[in-house]
Amino acid sequence: MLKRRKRELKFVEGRPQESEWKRFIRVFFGRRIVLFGLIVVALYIIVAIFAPWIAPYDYKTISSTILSQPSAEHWLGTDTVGRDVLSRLIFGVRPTLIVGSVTILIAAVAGTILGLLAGYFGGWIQTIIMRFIDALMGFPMILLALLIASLLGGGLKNIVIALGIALIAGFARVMCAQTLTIKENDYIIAGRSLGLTNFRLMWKHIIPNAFPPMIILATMNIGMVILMEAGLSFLGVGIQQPDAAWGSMVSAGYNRLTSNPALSVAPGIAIMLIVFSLNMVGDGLRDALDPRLRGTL
Amino acid sequence: MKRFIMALFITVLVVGIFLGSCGEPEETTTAPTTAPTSAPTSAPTSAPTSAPTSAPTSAPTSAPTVTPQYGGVLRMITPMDPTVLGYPAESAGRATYYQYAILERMIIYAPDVWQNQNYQGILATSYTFENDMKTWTFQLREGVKFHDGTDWNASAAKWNFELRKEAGNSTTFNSMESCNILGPHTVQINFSSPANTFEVELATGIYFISPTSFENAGTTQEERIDWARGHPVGTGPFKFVEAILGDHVTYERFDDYWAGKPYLEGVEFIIVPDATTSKNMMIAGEADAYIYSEFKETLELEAMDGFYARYCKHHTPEGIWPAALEPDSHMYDKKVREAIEYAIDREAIIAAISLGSPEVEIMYQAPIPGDPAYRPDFGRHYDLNKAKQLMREAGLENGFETTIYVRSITGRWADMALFVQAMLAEIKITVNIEMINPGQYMTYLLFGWPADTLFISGIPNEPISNFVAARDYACSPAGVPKWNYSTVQTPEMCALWNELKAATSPEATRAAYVALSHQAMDDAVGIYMMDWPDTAVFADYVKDCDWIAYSTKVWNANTTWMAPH
Amino acid sequence: MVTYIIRRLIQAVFILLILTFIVFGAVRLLPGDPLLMFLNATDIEALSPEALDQARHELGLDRNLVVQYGIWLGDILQGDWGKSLHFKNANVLQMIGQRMPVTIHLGVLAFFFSSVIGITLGVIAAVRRGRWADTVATLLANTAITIPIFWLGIIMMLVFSVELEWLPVAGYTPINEDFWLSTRKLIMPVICLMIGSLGAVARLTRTSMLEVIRQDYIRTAWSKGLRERAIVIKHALKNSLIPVITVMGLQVRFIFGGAVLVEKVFAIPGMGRLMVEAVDGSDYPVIQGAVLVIGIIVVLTNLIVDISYGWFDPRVRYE
Repeated sequence: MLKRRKRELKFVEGRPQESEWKRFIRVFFGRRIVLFGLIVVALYIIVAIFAPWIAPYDYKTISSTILSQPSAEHWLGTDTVGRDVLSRLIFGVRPTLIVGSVTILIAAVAGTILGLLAGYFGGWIQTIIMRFIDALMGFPMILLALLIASLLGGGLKNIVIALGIALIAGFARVMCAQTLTIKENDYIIAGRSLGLTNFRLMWKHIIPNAFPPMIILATMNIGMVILMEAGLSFLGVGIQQPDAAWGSMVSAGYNRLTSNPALSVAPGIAIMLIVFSLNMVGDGLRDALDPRLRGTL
Repeated sequence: MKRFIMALFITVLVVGIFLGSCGEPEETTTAPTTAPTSAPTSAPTSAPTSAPTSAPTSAPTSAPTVTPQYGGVLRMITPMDPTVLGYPAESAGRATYYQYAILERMIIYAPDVWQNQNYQGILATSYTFENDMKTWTFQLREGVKFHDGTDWNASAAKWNFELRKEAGNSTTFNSMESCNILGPHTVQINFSSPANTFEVELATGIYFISPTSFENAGTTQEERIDWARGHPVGTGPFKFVEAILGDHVTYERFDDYWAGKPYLEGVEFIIVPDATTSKNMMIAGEADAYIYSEFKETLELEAMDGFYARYCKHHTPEGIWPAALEPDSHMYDKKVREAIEYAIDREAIIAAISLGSPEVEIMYQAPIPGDPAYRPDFGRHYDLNKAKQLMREAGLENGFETTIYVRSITGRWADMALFVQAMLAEIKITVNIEMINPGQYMTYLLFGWPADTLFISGIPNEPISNFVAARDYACSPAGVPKWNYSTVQTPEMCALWNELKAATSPEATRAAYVALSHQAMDDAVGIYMMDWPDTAVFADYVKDCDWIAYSTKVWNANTTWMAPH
Repeated sequence: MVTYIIRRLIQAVFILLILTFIVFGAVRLLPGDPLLMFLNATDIEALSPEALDQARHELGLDRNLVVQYGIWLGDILQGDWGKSLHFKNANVLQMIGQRMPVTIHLGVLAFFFSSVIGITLGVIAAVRRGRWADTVATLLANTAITIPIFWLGIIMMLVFSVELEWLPVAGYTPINEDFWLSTRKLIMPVICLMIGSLGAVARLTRTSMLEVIRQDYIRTAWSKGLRERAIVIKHALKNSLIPVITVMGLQVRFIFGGAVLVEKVFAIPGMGRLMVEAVDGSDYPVIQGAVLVIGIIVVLTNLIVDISYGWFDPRVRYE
């Protein structure tokens, strides 16, 4: 630890120029906790891909041995219809990651488009879009998601859509602010005078430049989405049986904390670990990509 | 390499922190409770307890060994908010139990109602009917006062009946032709058609409020109704104090209660939506009773010291109901319905969801043992071969796809849906499980279910089974709302249903009911699975509380008292 | 400044109009016929299709959506917020009036503690960057936001109320009725509610503090020999709080969201539970009224946040 601090002081004093990519690698992988996060995320993805080979049982098969305590056959016991909790946990990575990533993808794409249009064209387009976004921001996300999910009905697809819509506002705001800053840059003004089309300017110049803050926001939000899914299933709207994301598993098992703790503690810890890891990765990305920190790290 | 080792170290550290912060509660809390799955807990204590204290009048005499004590506020946890409290023309639905201690009915179910269909008098001491059940005469109890000090008499009764007629939302009162006062405490009511379910309605849903308070509450009828909805003024043992939605409802003792001063100072309902929280509150002593308790929490609390539980049977049979109204749907075919029933192993399902409790009984038909329509040997027991054969006969050996609607994503109905899904897969029926919210459920229930689907639900049941049959097997044209617990309507059933509705004597009603019930069971209207008990948990010191002692529709709050604790 | 505020207020009105209209439309698409929630009749056969249509007409449910919205808006402005469909005697404005103070009580406490603790953790982490204090503070802040809060609530309840018997299990007591009981009842809900915001505030404080600490004027102050603490608090903290204030403004929304879960676990009669129950039962007037009130609060806090920038950063001009 001490050694690291010394090195840092040296950087502050002035460091030789290094390429953007090299700096990214150095800063991003420099913090051990970020590395830890990355390893966990990678492990989760591996588990998701190889779930059928890793899981000891099929996650759907019900049996008559219900609510058994952890044992040699069932490491984490069985649930209320006799399914193996460990297998459900392993297969649960898939919907959990799908909820996390697809939701963010929906929100990021929609948010980027709205924010870009608003920021680039300005004027009444900006006013309309941003007031609309402000209106969405005027409402707690989980309630918005609950409302949309009640409207569409439960199920993986609808939960993803509901959470996605609830998250659009944050992305649109950041994108709009980014676009406003970037479009004042000389190269955009120059590009415009050269007669480049709006689409080309947006696609080739603004989006790539606005990418870093968006990717940071996205990473940070994945964890939140996973937690929100847990909250939604606690409120009674969630992914449909027999599939289960960890959020649904926690909310299905929280009332048996005293008798069968594994039912909700296992998915709960799994959620905590992935959310923690994703936040760390997001932190690392911000350190590595945020231009304001460029001189200091 | 060094970095990797460092990362590994941090992994261990972080996991350690996680485990440290979460492991603690498991260890500290497993000790006191026993797992609900473990051996069926104490059957004897749960039998419909302490000799039902019959009529409220007999309360002082029925005191068993200890002398009841005055004082104390009974704090009862309940998951539901109150709805309408003091305007009887609007039903409070399931939340009607908030009315039991403040408003009274003319008659209520007697303790032997399930065996003999008997009633006991509250605001009426006796009644007769004649003229093909069209004319009913009531002798009212004397010396009864409303909470506002006015008297209960024939004109108050007449006024209440007319209020119901004016509201226009009851078939029975819509056919009321006249209401006559025959004496200060005698009232007669005339209907244009036989009112053969009037007794049940009187015993379950017709409360009486003070005309004086109502009339003084506003200048327009609308204002008065609005006031009454939130301000019940009745004759019950307790007076209404306040209702804060989502938080609590409080009552205080009514000293002039006709059957003697109630023991309790007051009653407080604490509204707690979450069952785990409710259980924890009971353990921590923050409440004296937990009514409409979740089954699992009931078993868990009963297994602890200091609590007793009560299981009230027969009020909520639960099962799976097919939507079979469309002639081109698979389930229109009786063979398919029967195949589904034969494919479902009730014993396996109930063994799992009853958590080993003997309080849940398997059902194979709607009538309960002792009911005139009960047939001991009737029932489509689990028989996979028969199910497959029936599917073959129906030309569906390759199965079909359907949806099963469930009202919650967790809990016993969700578990039941999973079992049904697995069992029906054996006869090649693919079942998709879909969750619906209460609003959607009500809409489907009243306006009909999507064709060719199944849904899981409880059916509210009453001891007077002809009333239930008339509701459940109603024959009405499409578009007219009705309770669609069953959507099977065969011509035979419709004929018998019309006979039941037209019955003009108790004997004829009974005969028509038995015939209709048998026909409905033979036609496989639905899969009655189990008799799910309504439950409540009490702290040991709550005595002589007849809450759900034999019916969920009765609570004589004046007899309840609390020992020092 | 005044014109800025006026302009922002006008904008706020538009935002609220859009918000309420979106929700108005969405609510009407909710599955389930609201009429059935309203009627809740035991004797449904008594209601002919004509009678149902009549009831629908009386509630105004048969009209064009925009017309319905217009009528609703007009009524709201006249102080008639309608009545709950489910709790027929309950005036929506009264219901909100009963429940809003509860959520505000809970929310203000959560907001206060998450800000104070979050900023403290963030400052410690930044000033002691790289040392164990930084690691512990960062870990604390980051672990806190990873726990599903309803689950944390139940775990805390089991430990502190059932096992240790230190705190009441659940419920709410108004602060003016019994201060001590009220506070004891709120300890666990407030911890659950603040924990998410706490992490976000701490992380942001740390980052922006790190930036500011390296600015020239701080280094100048340092070289002048002022005491470390004075520098940090006076200069660095004030400057690094600007982005933090933005996040704190957003926390208002998160706290309302968290209240939805916390209120259910701890049986607290607040806005969150009101909203969830209303959505569940398609109780239109309640949903709409609650959305409007929550919207007003969120929009106003954002305005206050924007104005308070000026206090922290004199460079900000209101245009």
